[in-house]
Amino acid sequence: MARFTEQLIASEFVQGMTLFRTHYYGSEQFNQIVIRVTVAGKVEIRAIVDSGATWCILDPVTFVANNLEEQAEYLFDIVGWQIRGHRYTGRLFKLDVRLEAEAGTSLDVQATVFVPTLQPGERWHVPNFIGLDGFLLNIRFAVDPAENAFYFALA
Amino acid sequence: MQERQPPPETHPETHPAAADSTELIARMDAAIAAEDGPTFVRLVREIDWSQHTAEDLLRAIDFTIWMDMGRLAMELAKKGGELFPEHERARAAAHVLTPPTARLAPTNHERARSLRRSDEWLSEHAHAYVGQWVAVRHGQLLGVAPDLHDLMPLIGEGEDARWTLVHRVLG
Repeated sequence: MARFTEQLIASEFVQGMTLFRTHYYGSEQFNQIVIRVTVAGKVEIRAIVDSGATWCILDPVTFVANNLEEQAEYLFDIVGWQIRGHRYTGRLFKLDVRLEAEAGTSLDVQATVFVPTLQPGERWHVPNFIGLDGFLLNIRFAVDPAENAFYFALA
Repeated sequence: MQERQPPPETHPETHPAAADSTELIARMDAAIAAEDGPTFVRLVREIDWSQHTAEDLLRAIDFTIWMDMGRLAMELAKKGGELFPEHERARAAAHVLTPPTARLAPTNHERARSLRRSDEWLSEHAHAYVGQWVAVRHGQLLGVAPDLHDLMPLIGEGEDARWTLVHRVLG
C-alpha cells in the first residue's frame, strides 16, 4: 500500500486508492498516469488519466466486442472531434466506469465516453483515456507520483 | 401639401430583440465557418435560444465538441434539454452531456490486487506483443490474438471477465 493511504482515508480527504503505472503499453515513450478501470461492470481496461482530455475515449473494438452499447442509457452522434490532430466522427455515450480501489472504497462514475466510428479498414491507434469534463469533473482526486498512487473520493 | 408617409412596415409576431438574435445566429454561423472560437463563445452567450430552433442550438453544440469546449457543450446541451424536450437529438445531447455523477461502489480488494498483478505481468511482457490484444488473468497470460473477438471465448463473461485485464499493445 502507498505510504500515506491510511492517513488520507482516515482523514476522509480520499475514500479510495489505486496504484497506477507510468506507461501505456505500446506507447512507452510517454510518461503517463495509467489506471485500471471497469467499464459498464463488464470489462477491465487500462486508461490514461488526462485532465487535458475533455471526454473519456474508449477503443471501439472493446466497445463492440463487449456489447457495451446495450449498457449505455443514452447516445449522441457527434459530427466531429479532433484527437491528436485527426478528425474523428463517432458517438458519445453515458457509461458507468468504476475506479476499483486497492485500498478504501471503489467509486462508480457515470461518465461521458467517446467511441469513434471507424471507416472500413481503418485501425484505431489511440489509447483509452479518462477525461476531465466526462469523468474527473465531479470527483476529488489526488496523485502521489512518488508512490504511483491515485487517490479518489466523492466531491 | 406633404404626401402622407405610409406607416413603417411591421411584423407584429417578430419582436425587435428576435431580429437581433437572428443576426447573432448568422454571426455565430460565420464564426463556426471560420473556426473562430473566441467570437463563437461570446455570441452563443448573447443569443436568446428560446427564439430559435433546436437545429440552431445543435449546430452550436456540435461546434463546441469539435473545438473541445466541454463545459460550454454541457451548458448548451442543458439549455437544449429545457427548451426542446421533444426534439430527439437535443434530448440525447442533454442526457449524454450532463456532468458526470459519482457514487460509492462495492469494493473487492482481492480482485483489484489480482488485476494489479496482471498489470505487472503486462509491464514485463507487453513489448513482445506489439499490435496484439492480450488477456491476462491472475497475473498470468490467458491469451493473445490480433483480433479481440478471437479472445472473447477465452475471457468469458461475468466474473471471469471481471478478473481479466484486456489490453491492446499499441504499435
